[in-house]
Parts: sequence; C-alpha cells; structure tokens
Amino acid sequence: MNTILEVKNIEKYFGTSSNVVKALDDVSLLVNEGDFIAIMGPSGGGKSTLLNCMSTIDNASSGEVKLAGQSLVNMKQKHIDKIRKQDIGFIFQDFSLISTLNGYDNIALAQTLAGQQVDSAKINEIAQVLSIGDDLLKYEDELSGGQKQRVAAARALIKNPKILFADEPTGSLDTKTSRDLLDNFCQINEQLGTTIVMVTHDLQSASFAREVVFLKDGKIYNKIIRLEHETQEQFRMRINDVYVLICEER
Amino acid sequence: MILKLAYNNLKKSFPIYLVYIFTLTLSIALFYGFIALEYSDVITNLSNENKTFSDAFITLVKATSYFVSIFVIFLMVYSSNFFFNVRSREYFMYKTLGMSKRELRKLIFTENIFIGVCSLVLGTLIGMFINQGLCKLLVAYINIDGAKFSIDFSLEALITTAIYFWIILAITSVFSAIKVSKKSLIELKYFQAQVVRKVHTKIISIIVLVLGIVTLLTGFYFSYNSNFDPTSYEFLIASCALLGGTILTYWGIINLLVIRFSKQSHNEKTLQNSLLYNRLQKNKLAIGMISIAFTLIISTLFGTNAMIDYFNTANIIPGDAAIVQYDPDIYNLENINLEAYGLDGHEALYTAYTYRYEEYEFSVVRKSEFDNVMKVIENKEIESSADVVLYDNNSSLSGDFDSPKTQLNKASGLDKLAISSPTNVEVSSNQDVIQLFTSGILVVADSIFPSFQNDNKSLYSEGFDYQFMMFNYRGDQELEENALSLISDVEKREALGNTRMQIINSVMVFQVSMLFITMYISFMLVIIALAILAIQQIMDAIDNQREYNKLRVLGLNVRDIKRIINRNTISYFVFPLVLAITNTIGILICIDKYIYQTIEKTAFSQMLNTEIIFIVVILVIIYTIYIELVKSIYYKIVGV
Repeated sequence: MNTILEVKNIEKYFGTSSNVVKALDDVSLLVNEGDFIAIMGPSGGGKSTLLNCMSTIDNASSGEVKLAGQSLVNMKQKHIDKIRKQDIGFIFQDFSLISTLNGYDNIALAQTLAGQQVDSAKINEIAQVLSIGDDLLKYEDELSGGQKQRVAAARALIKNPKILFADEPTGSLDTKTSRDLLDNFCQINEQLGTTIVMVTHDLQSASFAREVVFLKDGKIYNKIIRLEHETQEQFRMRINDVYVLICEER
Repeated sequence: MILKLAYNNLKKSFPIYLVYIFTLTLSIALFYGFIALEYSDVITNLSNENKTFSDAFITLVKATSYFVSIFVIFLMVYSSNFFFNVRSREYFMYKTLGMSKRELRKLIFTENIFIGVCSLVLGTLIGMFINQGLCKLLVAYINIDGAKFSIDFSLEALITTAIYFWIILAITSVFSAIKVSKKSLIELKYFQAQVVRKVHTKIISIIVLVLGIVTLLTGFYFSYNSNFDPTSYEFLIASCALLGGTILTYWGIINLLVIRFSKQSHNEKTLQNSLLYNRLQKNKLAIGMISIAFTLIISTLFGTNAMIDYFNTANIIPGDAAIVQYDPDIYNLENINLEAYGLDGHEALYTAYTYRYEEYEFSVVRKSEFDNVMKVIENKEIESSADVVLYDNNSSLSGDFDSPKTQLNKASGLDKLAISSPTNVEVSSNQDVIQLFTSGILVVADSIFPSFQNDNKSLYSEGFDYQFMMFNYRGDQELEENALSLISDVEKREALGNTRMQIINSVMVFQVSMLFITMYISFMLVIIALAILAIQQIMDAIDNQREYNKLRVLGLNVRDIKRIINRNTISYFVFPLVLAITNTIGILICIDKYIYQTIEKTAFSQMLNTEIIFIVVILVIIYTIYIELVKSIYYKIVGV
C-alpha cells in the first residue's frame, strides 16, 4: 500500500526561552492509504499536538511531515492551503458546524470551497451512509450531538479527502452515539477507502481502529495492530493493558 | 455561497453586531446631518454679504468631520478586533474546510458591505431628520436675510457620506482581512482574548493612585496658569499631566477595588463583583482613555457656553468697527489679530478721529479707571444724553470737554461711552478689546496722537501688543463706509477695513460654529466611547456565560441574574463618567479663571443655557439607549 502520511522525527516545543515545554519528542509514524489509526494516550501526552502537526494546522519545530508524498517543511502557505482544501478532511470534538447554515449547506459549502460543483446526489448519498438523510435541512441547534458529528463527518468526506483527521470525535457524545458514529467511520474506511487518523483518549473508540499508537510524554510509547481474527473486544482488552501500563508508569 | 454565508452570519450574530451597526448608523446620521448643511437651502440662499459666514462655517464643519472620522476609524478597528476575538474559532473552521485567504477576505468584505449598506440607508434617513433640526437651529441663530428653512434631501451630501464611509469601511475590512490572514491555523484554533493582567500589590496601587492624583493636580495647576495658550509649555505640560494623571488615578482606584474585593469573604456576591472588577481591570487603559474623552466632551460642552458667553455679541452696538493701529517699525503684521484691521500712518486715524469728532462729543477715560467705570456702568449711573463720553483725568485733547464728572453724567448708556488713555494703553490683549467692543465702549489708542508715540515705545517692549481704536457708527453702515473710504483716500490706498456686517459675521461664525461643532464632537465622541464600553460589556457577556450559569447553580433566579447584569452594566458605564466629571470640575475652574477674570462672573454660573441643557438631555438619552441595548444583548447572550 502507498504511504499517505509520513512523520519523520518531529519535535514540537511550546513556550518562551525561560519556560520551554517539549510537547513532541522525536516522533515518527507511517500511515498508509486506507489505514484507520487511533492515537491514544493520557491527557497532556501530545496527541492533539501530533494531529495538529500532521494535519497542517501547526508546524513541527523540527523533523519532517510528508503528506501524499509532499513534504510540508518549507512548503508555501498557498500550497498547504491547496492540500488542505483538496486532500484533508477534519472532524473536531466540538463538531465545528457553521451554525448559520443548515446541515445541507454545511456540506455543500465544503464542496464549494474545494472547488467542486455542489452535487446534491452525492450529498444525499453520504448523508444516507451516515444516517442523516432526514436531518439535512436542520440547523446545528436542532440536531443531537451524534447528528451534528455525522454532519461534520459528511462535510469532511464530501470532497473525497485522501485523509481524514478526527480530533476526539466522540468526546462530546454518549456511548451509544459514539459507537454508531465509529461504526460509520469503519464503514467509510472500508467502503470509500478513506484513511482515518483519530485522536482519542477513549479505549472503546480506539478499539474501532485497526492500529493504535500510544503517546506518552510526547514520545511514541507503543503501537499495536488489530490481528486478523481478533474481535473488537479482544482488541480493546489489549489496548486497555497498554493504557493501564502507561498510566501506572506516570 | 459566500454571499449566503455572509448574510446568515450577520443574521445569526445580529445581537453581537447590533451595537456596532447602531453606532455606525448614528455616526453616518450625524455625518450626513452636518455635511448636508452645506447643501441646505439655509446656506445656499444666504446673500453674498453673508457668504463669509457660510464659507467659514462650512469649512469648520468639514474640518470637524475629518477630525471625528479618526475616532470613527478607531471604533471600527476596535470593533473588528472584538469580532475577531469572538469569531476566531469560526475562521479556523472555514480554513480547515479549505477556505483560502482570498475567500476569507471576500467573506469579510461581503459582511462589511451588508453592514455598510444597512447603516448607510438607516443613517441617511435619520441624518435627514438631524439635518432638519440643525437647519432650524441655524436659522434661529443666524437670523439674517436669506436664511430660510425648508425640508430637503441632499444627494450631494449622501454621495459624500457614502464615499466617506465606504473608505472607512474598506480600511476596516482590509485591517480585519490582514489580521485573519496573518494568524496561523493553530493561533485561530486556540485563540484566547487577552487574559486579566496581574493585579499590583496594595502598596504599589496606593503609590499609583497618589501619583495619579498628584499628576492630575499638577495638570490643573499648569492648566490654571497656561491661559489656554496651546503654544505655551504650561499648556503642553497640563495636557500631558491631565492625560497621564487620569489613567494613573483610574488604575490605582481599580487595583485597590480588586484587592479589596479579593479579600472579601466569599459569598454569592463574590462572583458577581469579580465579573465587574475583572472587566474594569482588564480594560483599564481603554476606560482611562474613555474617561479622558468624556472629560473633553463635558468640559467642551460646558466650557463652550462659557466661551460663547464670553464672546457674546448679542448686545453688540450696531455699526461698531475696530481699527488697529500699529507701528510697523516695532511690530510685524502677524502680531496683529486679523479680527481687526491694520492701518499705517497716524494721519489716517487722526482723520478718522476728526471725522468722528465732528459728529459726537467725546470724553476720555483712563484705562486705569476702567474697573470703576465698569462699576458705574453696572450700576447704571451713567444717564447722560451725550452721544459719547471720553473720560480722561489727564486729557491732553483740546476741545470742548466738560469736566469728567459732567461728561459721565452726560453719558446715556453703555453704547455712549468711550475710553481712551493718551498716556497709558492698557488694552493688552484681543480679548480685552472685544470685551470693550462688545460693551459698546469706544477705545482710542494713545499712539494715534503722534506726540505720545515715543513715550509708548517702552510699553511695547513690555508686551502691549495691540493698540486699538474703535469707532461707533451707530449702525449707520453708509457712514461707516464713508469713513473707511475717507481713510483710504487719505492714505491713497485701500483701507483694510472690516465692515459692520463682516464683524458681526465673524463673531457669529465663532458663536454658531462653537455651538455646532461642540454638538458634533460631543455626540460623535459620546457614541464612539459608549460603543466601546458596550462592546467590552458584550465581550464580558460572551466570556462569562459559564460564570452566570454558575450563579444560577448557586441558586440565583433569572431576576437575580438580571439584577446583577443591570448593576454591572450601569457601574461599567458610569465609572468613567464619574472620573470625567471630577476632571471637568478642575478644568472648569481653569476656564473660569481664564474667561471670567475680568467680568466678575463664574464659568459655573454660565454653564447651562437652553441649548446646552438640550444637548445634555439628548446625550443622556443616548447614554440610556446604549445601557439598555447592552443589557438586553447581555440577557440574550447569558440566556436569561
């Protein structure tokens, strides 16, 4: 499989000279097309920082990030904007829907901004996959948390991004809704072949991924891959074991 | 899609934008109202004779418009900063969706165009009413031929206003677009408004407060001694000290309040007080500046009346003309105030004097006797039928003069008194002359008599800049013009004379302009200052939604929450006003000393008249509207 995202020895520092915090410490990671990776770790471990650096939201202090074979280091902002526009989809914990537009327009806007014609058929198709076909004309304040996150997912997917970055997508959802949404993620990953990189601190959510990368104190602590015949519950147990270990060490 | 997004954004965020749109609308209304005066029938129908007035008046109004536009730009940039703070997460979202810088700029411009169109339409409509009011006021004031009031709409004024505000809007849009473009995605994602700065210790706060009060007092001291001469170093020191002193005093007070609050036992009032004090602390520089703006507004408002009163020529004697005679060997023409007109040669003045002498009786009064004479005038002790009394104990004029006492008795009123001192000119400033002039007193400068000229050179060196001669023409313009032509004939050149109408016009320009410009600046500064306070309060509401929820969890009901919001909002709006009023009292004392030192009145006694009361009432209404507007927006944001 082709590599869609390559992270090479990146470091990230925050703060001023008198109070520098190293948020990422020599992190390297390979993400292939069609992967579904969860990045896990305790809070303050650098999960979101890593996601930000990988997804063009932030720049690493050192090291290199390659997206679809192109290095983001020293890339012109205009070019980065173009990559973000065409190749990347985002989902955030707070849904980040545009409250002034209804669900349909939120999705259509993403399509317009990606330089595509608004394709109603495609919007409806994705909406059906994500089970929000009946909610498209509703505004943010008329949708439940799960529905909002599905609209956000549809908005991220409408432009056929090569990679979808999800930052704690289930952080604001209850267990049942989280499970439904993550089922949708699996469906999208399998049916559309969309690569998904998801940051989560929730064991249950991480168990939906095929690979889990553990971060601790800005370093990659461990990686585990779901085995071919392993059930989700078994995978979750393995994730739990590693996570408990991290927490105990802290 | 961008259009739809812009429209929906504004629609959804209307409560947050309301203050901004309201302020912009009022600014446009005021701008249009004043600019349209130029095209109003009142001004355009003025006769050629009154063109001097209209030209000067319109120039002043235009200059004021440019001046206030600085504050409008400041407000708009300040507002766009506020909107950026509120909407940074939204901009982050757009960017993650792939919105390019260009599209984002387009969105910001489109939103501003919506706001601009909306404000321009509403503002022009309100401006038409304001213009009608101003025209009526102008007619009432100038009361001269050709000034006829009629209701009209000016396309030229609308175009000027539109161009003007579009330029300001474009500047603001560019500013916003640059700000958004310059922020990286991560900055937009985690953008946080400035956090509350560290509060100083009690000792430092007391030192700051004392320093502030001392600086303020220093400012008042220098102001008191500067005679409001902007070129003097005292004036410069006074301005800086008043500015710095106000801010330091405010900082000291706020710091002490916050310290005192933090030591209070924690109860349900702790949180509500913290909301107010933290906001005051956070915006202390802005509020300090607003206090200064309010000080300017209030002192201009009340000081204006004092100034107008000082220059009040309502009782000016028709037909008076002023002539200034100067010695070109000693003085440059620049030193001569152009309200009067200059003549070379004693012969010309002497001729004119003789011309007048043939008409009226004269007496000569020493300037040193001036105070006594004023008392005589005030007590109406002069009830003679003489045309003019010249009173001089040491009169060197030969002629048919009675004794001073007899001459005074002969005088029949203010307009029939002339003062001169052939040996001692004490008219040392233009204000003195105008005062004499407006009292109807004929002043004859001593050096019109060649024999005294040499003696007076020593006086020149002591700073007596002006020598004046005033003619009383009894309102006979023809006579006045004859005199002027006679003078110019003698000199074989054109006399640089002011006709009676020109003098009245110049005084009227001053008087009317002062009133109108005071109104213009006061209203504009007040709405801009109030808008800034309002925006800060709305920001407070957005920042503290959770805190108010906590208060509800603590058991406070909607009514209690509203009460807290009302209290905090009113306190927030009144705080800078209190400081401004304190400052204003000091400034009025200085004005009092400057203006009323000779005429035995006080600025405080002259503070109010119908116009000023009217302006104050309108300002209070505007103040109340802003407070009510902010309260209702606050309720909406907090959800009560």
